[in-house]
Amino acid sequence: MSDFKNIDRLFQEKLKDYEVSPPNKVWSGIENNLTDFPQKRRIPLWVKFASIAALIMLFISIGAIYILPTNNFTGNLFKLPSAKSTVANESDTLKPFETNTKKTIIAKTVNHKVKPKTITEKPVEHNLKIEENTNIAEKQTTTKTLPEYLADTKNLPLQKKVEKKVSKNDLNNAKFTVATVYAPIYMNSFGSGSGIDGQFKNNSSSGNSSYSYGVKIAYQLNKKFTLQSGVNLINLGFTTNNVYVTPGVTVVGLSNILSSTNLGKDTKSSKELNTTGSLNQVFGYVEIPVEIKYNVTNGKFGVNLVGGFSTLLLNRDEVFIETPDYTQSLGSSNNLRSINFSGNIGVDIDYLIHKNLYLNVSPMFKVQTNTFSKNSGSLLPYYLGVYTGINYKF
Amino acid sequence: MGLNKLIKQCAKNDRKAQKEIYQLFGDKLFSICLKYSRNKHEAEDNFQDGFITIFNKIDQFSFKGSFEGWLKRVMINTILIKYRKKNVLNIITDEIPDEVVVDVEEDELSLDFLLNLIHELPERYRLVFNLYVLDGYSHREISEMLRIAEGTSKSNLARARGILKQKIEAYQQGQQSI
Repeated sequence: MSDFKNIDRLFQEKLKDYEVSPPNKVWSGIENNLTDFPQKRRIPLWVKFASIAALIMLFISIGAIYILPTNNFTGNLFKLPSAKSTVANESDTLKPFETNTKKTIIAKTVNHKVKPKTITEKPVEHNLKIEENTNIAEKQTTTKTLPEYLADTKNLPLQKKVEKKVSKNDLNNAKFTVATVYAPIYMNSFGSGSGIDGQFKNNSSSGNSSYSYGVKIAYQLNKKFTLQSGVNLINLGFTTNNVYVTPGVTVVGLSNILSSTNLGKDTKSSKELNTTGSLNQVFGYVEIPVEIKYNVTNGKFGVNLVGGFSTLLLNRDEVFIETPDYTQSLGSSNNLRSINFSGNIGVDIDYLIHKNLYLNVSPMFKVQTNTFSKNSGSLLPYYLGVYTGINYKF
Repeated sequence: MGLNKLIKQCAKNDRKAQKEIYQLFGDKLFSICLKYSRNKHEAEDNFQDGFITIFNKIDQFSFKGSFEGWLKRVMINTILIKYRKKNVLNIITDEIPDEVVVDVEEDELSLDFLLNLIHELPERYRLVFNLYVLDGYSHREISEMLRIAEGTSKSNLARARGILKQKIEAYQQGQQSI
């Protein structure tokens, strides 16, 4: 029994329900490749700007080390290597960003090229098919959307993604956040030394608790990233302990104090006459942070990771002597740089109170790069602050 | 778990969801690979690459139309891109033959035999035959997918049919003479 049959139909019929299971080993191959290549992350254009901004900040901070107070670098040698190491780290972190940005740009241009093609072709060829609908037969869906996939698998799904994004953004347009910020600050330092005079470099020193307050603005760049800046006033205090004070008589001129009065270093002979006190160096800054916030979890509690820089402009500088009996101002110190920088890292937790209002708690750790210009030993101040505030999104 | 939810999980690189999608559609997609590839070994390679592409792009599925259709297109395109790269040579530009209907005597031709015939076809003929006959793409669509002239697609198809017919007839004669 045999009859003639169109060769196309012969193959169509025989292979119509043809299904074969792939060998088991293939899945492990796929799995391995998926771990090697996790979800491609498109890094948008703003990263480029952010990296440029970060670079500029970096150049300014390097420049500041060399240009601002230029005197007495020998007492200050420790800073050079530390500055260099920041440079190296920075370029390391920037590199991957840059290459990724390039990739996105290429992808985008390709995408544009394809777009007009789809627009012009659709009405001509597929008019009728579009009127019919998707779920009639798979073949029809195939032919209908086909031009979109013709060029490459890579191109067109990407285009769809872009459309999706736009519509999402339209819905969720609360991009700006303003916030008040208040933070108790706990300050301390790496290394030892005193910001007041080289002679105290073996004395124990400690940071004082203080506070910071200001305003913050943030702009949401995309679902995951937010750029934030603001202005904070911050007061920092640094105490050099075990300083012996001789009342009344000017004993020693301290190199980093402009008008020094009655201080003496701990010497056995003067011990009986003197009272033990401490030197308080109090300095305040106007802080301008530039930080990037990465969203980890969303919802009523939003958890974010924060990293960035602050530019610190000196606006207060005073040194006090403190003994159990009295406190006296000694004047201002001359070794504080008028501009310095800090590297910031921390966590930021949002709690939705009402509609657009959020309660915000953000423990931050900030390390200053070049607080002192000279005579301070290997002192590298850092501070911990728990920044709290109310955010309003609009 | 619904399919849509599963797809979304896959987009988050959730390994369990990915495996489930693989189990749901693996057989269908693997059979596509077997048809489009030169042999079983290449089919496995293509299948693996196709699935990696699928999981890397699954976040781009727009939830319009059939997901299975989307999977098939991504798979086919992955294969085509691969063979298109290899296929730099394109000298056959002969006259366009008419769309001749080729009839063969249908015997008890086994599926494996037919599949083997497809595998034996020259690269381009195999792709065009698959796209046109088995997956219903038009010559114009094929010409864009393979970056060839429409006429080339038509002539490739005619030649593929010719070769297949010849081989089937030779096989049948061989059977009769035994």
